[in-house]
Amino acid sequence: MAIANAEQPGTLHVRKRRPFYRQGLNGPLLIVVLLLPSLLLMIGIIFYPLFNTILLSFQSLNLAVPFLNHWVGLANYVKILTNPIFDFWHSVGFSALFSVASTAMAFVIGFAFALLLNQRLRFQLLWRGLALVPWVIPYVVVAYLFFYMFNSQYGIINHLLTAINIFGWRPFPQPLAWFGGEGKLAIIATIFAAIWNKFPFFTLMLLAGLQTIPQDLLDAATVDGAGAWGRFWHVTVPGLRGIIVITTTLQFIWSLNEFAIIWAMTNGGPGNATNNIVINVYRTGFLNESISYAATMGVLWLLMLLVFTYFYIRIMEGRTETR
Amino acid sequence: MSKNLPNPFARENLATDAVLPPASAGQEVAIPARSPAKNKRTGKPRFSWSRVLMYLILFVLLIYAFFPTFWMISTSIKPQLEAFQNPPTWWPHQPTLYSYQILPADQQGFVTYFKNSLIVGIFTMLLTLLAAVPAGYVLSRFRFRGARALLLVILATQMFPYVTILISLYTLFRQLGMLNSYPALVLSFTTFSLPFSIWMMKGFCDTMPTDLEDAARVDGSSRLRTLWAIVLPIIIPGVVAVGFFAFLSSWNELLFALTLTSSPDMRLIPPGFVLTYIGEFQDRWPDMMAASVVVSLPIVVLFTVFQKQLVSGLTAGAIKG
Repeated sequence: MAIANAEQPGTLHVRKRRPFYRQGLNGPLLIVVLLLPSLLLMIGIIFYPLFNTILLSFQSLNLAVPFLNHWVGLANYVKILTNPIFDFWHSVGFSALFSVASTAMAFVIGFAFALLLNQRLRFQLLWRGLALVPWVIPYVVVAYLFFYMFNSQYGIINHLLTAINIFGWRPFPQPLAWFGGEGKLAIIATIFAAIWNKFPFFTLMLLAGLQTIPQDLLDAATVDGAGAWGRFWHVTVPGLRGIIVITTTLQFIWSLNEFAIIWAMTNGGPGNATNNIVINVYRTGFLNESISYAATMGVLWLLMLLVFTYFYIRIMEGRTETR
Repeated sequence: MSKNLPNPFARENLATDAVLPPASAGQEVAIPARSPAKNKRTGKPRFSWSRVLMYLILFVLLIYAFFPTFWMISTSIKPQLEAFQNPPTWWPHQPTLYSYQILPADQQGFVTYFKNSLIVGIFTMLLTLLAAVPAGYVLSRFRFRGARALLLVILATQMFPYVTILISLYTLFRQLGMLNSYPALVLSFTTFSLPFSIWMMKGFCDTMPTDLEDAARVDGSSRLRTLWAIVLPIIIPGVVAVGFFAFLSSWNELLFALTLTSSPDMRLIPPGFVLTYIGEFQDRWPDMMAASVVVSLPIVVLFTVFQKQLVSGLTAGAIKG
């Protein structure tokens, strides 16, 4: 270090490199030291367990009878993919439906909020604060809050729905049994709770994005005769395109793995109606103790998600190439 | 794609190169704090129907955004029976703090859950920061062999279904006899907070100018000293943001917490809620809502206090690449 300090700025361009081990923490060793905690953690608690899960998926481990464990090859995969008793394809389908619906609606509401909050308003900071609150309320609280509001007997939502009376036309004369029946309504209820919880993420990110759009561009568009819609469509949206793609992709993938809100509201029921893939794995692996079947589902789900991940990475890299 | 979105992968500042990078000044740093419209025009807004419409839509959206929270607060101060009334009352006829008063009595283990969540949350935050801050900084500033591959791996890890990892973590911790312990919870929570935190930290560092660091290097400051005295102070907003989100994700987490603990003494808030209020205390809505308010409050307060840092920390990565 002392040697490094003695160097003159002018000689830096031509100085001879000492071997990295002599440079101490002023050289490449620093990178290693700074990366080490993350690398160790990632290997230890992400990649080693992942590898272990893949191994488990080729075995027949059941925690109720762990001594009967042996290798079964691809048998688990065949069973999961073909036997409807595992509810695999249905749970994948529900995950997709839940994720598409909640992400799309949360995006629309979040975007509308962002556009409005980007205007000149009184008490702007207060409105922003209020709009972001749902995002930091714990998932379990969100779930129970909506569970209570959707209660069929004394829930506020049924009360409001049955009160709708448009010139004698009452779309909901009877209170709805949200968490009973075949579960269609339960699906809607969970999606509603998720939308309320997720839209502030979009508001936050899009609002920050809106503020990077130069006012000059908007003014120029106005001079050129663009109306509010034209400015929005031809200036705002293209300016936000990158952030829109990233936030929706991220939120979509996160929602595919939603557990807390759905589990706390419905436990995956009624029946299997809201049994998304994560709940399915949880039920199979930890409630029924069939660890290997759960591992197999997990690996299959990971493979499916890797397709989306590939898409996401291509987007991120696409931004590199077209620069 | 878009011109004002620099890419996440290319950073030109070489680690071993002490030469000033050629005028890397072209980095816009901060997002303007106020909306352009506000900066641009002064004076009172004129009356127009479109403004009325705008306020109307805003009003509807704000009701949507805030009503459930209002309902939570309103229910929490209702007497037990009023929560079951049909039609529901908007505001309790006889507001009472009874549901809050019985919380500390610990009859539902609430204080234990709160304490456990706090301990696990703080240690998860510290462990995540310890690993993610240096890693994010290195990935932002230094080019080295394998950096790109590492970034891709971190990006991909963010998308992993953590339930797949949980299966093995559970069997592993079971074999080691570590179920129902703080270390198991902290380590497993770090699994999902780490990749996102590294990515966020990298994004934040990308938006920070390198001029100060370069100047310090030229003045002969060692790398470690530069990190400590120059870099750390300017990345504090990013550190605050990463720490907050690590804490938040741990505070929120249900799946891992539910699986890795079975004894009521080690339960965290989310599984505590699920197991308490679904079983014997089901339908004690005011109590549950009072507990909900108390559980949400720390996060809402933290969020309000650090809002500026959080927003800049979170959006820096995504907006600037």
